[in-house]
Amino acid sequence: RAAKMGTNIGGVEVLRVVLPGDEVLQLNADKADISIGPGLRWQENVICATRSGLLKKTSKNLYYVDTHQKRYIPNAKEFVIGIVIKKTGNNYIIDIGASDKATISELVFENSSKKARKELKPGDLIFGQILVANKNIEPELVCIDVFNNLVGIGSLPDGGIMFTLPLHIARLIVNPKNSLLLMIAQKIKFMLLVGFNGRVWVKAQKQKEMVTIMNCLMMLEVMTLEEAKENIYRLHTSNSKNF
Amino acid sequence: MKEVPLSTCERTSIVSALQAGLRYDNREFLEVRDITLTFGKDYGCCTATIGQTRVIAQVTCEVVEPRPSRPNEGKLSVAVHLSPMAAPHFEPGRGNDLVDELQLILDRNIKESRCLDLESLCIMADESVWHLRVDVTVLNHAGNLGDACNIASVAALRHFHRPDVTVEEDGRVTVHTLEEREPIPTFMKKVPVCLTYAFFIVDDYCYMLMDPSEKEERVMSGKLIVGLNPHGEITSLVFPGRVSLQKEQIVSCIRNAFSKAKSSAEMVQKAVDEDIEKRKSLIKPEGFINCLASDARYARQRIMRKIKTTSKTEFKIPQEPVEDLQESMDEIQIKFDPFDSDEVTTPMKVKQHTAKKVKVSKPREVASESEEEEEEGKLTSQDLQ
Repeated sequence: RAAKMGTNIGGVEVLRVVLPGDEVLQLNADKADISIGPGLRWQENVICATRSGLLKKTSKNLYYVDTHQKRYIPNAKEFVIGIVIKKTGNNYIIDIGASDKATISELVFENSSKKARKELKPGDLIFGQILVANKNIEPELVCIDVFNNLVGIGSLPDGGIMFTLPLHIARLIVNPKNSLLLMIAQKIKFMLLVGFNGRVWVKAQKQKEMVTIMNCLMMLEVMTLEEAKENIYRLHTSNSKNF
Repeated sequence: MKEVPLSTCERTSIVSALQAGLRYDNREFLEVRDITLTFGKDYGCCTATIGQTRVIAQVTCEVVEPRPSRPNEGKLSVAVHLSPMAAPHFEPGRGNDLVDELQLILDRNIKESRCLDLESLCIMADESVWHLRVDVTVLNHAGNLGDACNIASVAALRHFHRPDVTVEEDGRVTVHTLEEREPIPTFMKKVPVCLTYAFFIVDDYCYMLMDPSEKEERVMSGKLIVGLNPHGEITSLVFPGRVSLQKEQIVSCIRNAFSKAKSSAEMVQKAVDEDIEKRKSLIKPEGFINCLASDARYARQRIMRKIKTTSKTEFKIPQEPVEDLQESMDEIQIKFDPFDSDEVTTPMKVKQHTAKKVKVSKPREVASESEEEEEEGKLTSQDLQ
């Protein structure tokens, strides 16, 4: 299920397979502006890969390495779904699937002030943005911006199914115009929240539909997008028979 | 590492799915996952997989003095090890409830049921007997470890061949290597089988599932582990958890277990016999090379098989091409959640997908439009059926 070399899908060009330590580019002074993304590192005029995967290049001259990974490493400004573990003082401790637990203050939710704080129970789900993430400190989440705009949506409504996908699949699904999601939308009305830590939350009207969507998305782990599109209709009919 | 906490959403969603008659991996309530057995290069080494749960059992033997109370019988001991490879929250060396439970199941099912003829392990009464030791290591924990450990150790014991022994006149015992003399198989009278039933108590209803997966195990209220053999004898009953059952329910579980035990025992016997025949016909044993399929490959095979067996009717491909839908998506205003229209909250930036033909409209018409879309949705799915 590898993308072919040199193909151009939606403005992203697949260059080649790289292993950690491979030299990717030599930087010359007269080269146009190049941005480097995750998985690449610039050292002494040479750009090396730090992870193994496919080297990709977007239309804006951004190079990055696309890896298959299941464990999440927190980065700032990414949206994640977290599970509330407990409350300490004025903060909640949240699990986001990384090696460290994240914290979130109870004031950074919508409509919460010092008099009306947000109440969360252990086991609740939260969708927020990572404010700061460093290897030395615990990551911190926010659900509201510096300008008091709503950034995450805070605690998730009741109902719905949550499951975990590998990170590269979650990145595929974050785009709402993804063709697989549109195909599913033709049959089922649903609400979908994707966290960059691989956690996905789906809500539909019937239990059956939610389980179908979950299985369709989990199929992406083991098949290419095209094969998954062919197979979701069969999956949906096979589920409908169990009424 | 600590276990990832289970959110309330996951807990309630599994229970609601059960109330709707569904399991996450689309199994029936009383359907067991695929069981495969692979044997290693040596005698007595066996890997069992139930779905994605993987367990390896190895049998070793040594000559020891017998117990003074039982001078004619050999010894058998079973040990379970949970490696951190199986799940991130397993720690080596530290015993926890799961290890104790697995040890209990295996002790009762294999040692105390006397499935193995221990008197055949005797070399010289009162002086030397064989001590068989089964070491079971859990490689991957995806639910239902009890059944997997049991199947692996039973198959390994059945597969095991002990070295041949000659006793001199003056009492010296010579153990021959496997090349000098043919090793002798163990004699297993009955094949103990272990089956796990999970119970979920919701609103006065009790749902019974067989072979729980990992998420189901975390949510379940209690489980019943039935150990029995196809001859009709129950070897063990373990009933942990916070469930209280009526006598009739337990009896019906056991009756169900009997019907499944025979096929399970036959499968074990067949797998072991096939492998032993291969070795006798001097085909070199391949070991575990062929069972190194990744989880992704197993999942894919399962999906393809399920799709091929269930869908035989032609499915209708929607007439509207996908590109048109993308254009119409750009015109859609993102409205707030139609599911709970009672709440009047500020609109949330939620990525929402609706069915086709959504027009930009005033909020008052939201309810009627969603009804239309629902009807359209119902039509197409009924057509497919």
